Amino acid sequence: MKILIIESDYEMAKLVAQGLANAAYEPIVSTDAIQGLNFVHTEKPDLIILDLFLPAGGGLSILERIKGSPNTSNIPVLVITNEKDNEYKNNALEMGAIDYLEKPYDLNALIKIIEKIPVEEKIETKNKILIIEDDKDLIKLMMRKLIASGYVVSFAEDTYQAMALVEKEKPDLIILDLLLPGGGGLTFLERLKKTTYAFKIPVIVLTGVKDNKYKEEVLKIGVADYLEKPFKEEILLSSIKKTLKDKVVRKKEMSKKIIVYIDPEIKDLVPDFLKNRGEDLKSLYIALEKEDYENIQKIGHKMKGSGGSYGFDGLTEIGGSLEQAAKEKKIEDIKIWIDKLSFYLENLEIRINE
Amino acid sequence: MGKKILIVDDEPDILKVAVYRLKKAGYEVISAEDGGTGLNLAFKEKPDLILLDLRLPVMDGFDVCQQLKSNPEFKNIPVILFTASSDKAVEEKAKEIGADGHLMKPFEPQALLEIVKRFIG
Repeated sequence: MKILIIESDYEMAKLVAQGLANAAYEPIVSTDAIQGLNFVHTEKPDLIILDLFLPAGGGLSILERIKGSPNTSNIPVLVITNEKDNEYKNNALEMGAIDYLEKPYDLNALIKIIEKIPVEEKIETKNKILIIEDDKDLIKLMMRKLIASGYVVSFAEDTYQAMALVEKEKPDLIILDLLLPGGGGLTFLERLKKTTYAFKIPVIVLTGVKDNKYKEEVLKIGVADYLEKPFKEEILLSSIKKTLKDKVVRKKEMSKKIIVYIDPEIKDLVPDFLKNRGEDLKSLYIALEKEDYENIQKIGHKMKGSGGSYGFDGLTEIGGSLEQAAKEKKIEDIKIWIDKLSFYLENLEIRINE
Repeated sequence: MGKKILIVDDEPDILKVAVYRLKKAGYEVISAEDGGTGLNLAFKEKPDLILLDLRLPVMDGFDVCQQLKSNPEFKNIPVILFTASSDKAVEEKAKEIGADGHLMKPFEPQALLEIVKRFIG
């Protein structure tokens, strides 16, 4: 995430930039208003941290110009002020600042605010969509529409072929007709949701059946959207767009580096501890497949107790949530937290707290 | 020789870090991963303090505690329940069976040493 810091105090700006870089953000610094405004246009930052006290035109007028231009108006701006004056702050908020911080502020407080800012959608690569449908005419129609909309599309006419394609192509989204010959879409959906490498792929289902009970059953398995045939192309397209956007936001939230500072005294114990959490993750996938809630609860409980004891408060949170979700047999929640655990372990960066 | 502490916990990673912290602070530490072994060790070694998890294989922490507290020779050994459950019911049950204290998991090293010091210095 690219963050532009417009701050007149160079030392201060350097400090903040360093802190943000440590937290795996990409900081850009400008110490004056004109250059800052240029950077807003040339660098297209995801967030602007704006000091309201700037030479050459105060911060408020910069804010006004950022928010006044259609190219930059949707970039969130966080304002920094040393004014105790509430009117000044309210002005900034009214002009579209997302939040404010008073000087002197704590770097952790800043990062907390940044983490809460919703991430704008940016589709960097073409998304892959797999269509599973036995009606050739409908396949043709959808393919033409989706390719024209910039997606990479493949299709399967039966679930056997589909499973192979899911494994090979790892699509970003699946469009699934529930009424397929041989086994049917519902069985396929259930299988997909229990497959470790594929349960995260969002599925939009198509159906010709008008039956609320059936719909409920499908929704319970967990689908991104449920469309009844015949449907309008625009409905399908907007459903795809929305689904992929949700996915991008989730992915961005999760692809941040997780930096954990640990006590140097126990640093020798940490590698084994983390290796065991990797084992926990494997056991959780197996338990999930078997719907073994008791074991999930047990693993979660232990992780809750040991995580923070080693300095990994995130593991305590994940463990506690898994324990709770397993107790209530909420399989969707369990999947989410297993997912979080997987990302946590993958993106973890250990620093020794000297 | 330092004072002797027995930790009973079935999570090896918790044992490792707690044993390390206590040894570092100068205590002698022995440990067990299930309630039965824990109770036998307590009878045999007569530690100065016991840190006791509740959910344990073979024999759970409540039983271990009750056995100790109903035995005149051992009832004065302070027993600190060592749990990740924040349940009110656990607190009450702990009082009922005569546990002397409660340390929550995850634990901060200071909290561990503080509660141990409070009982055995």
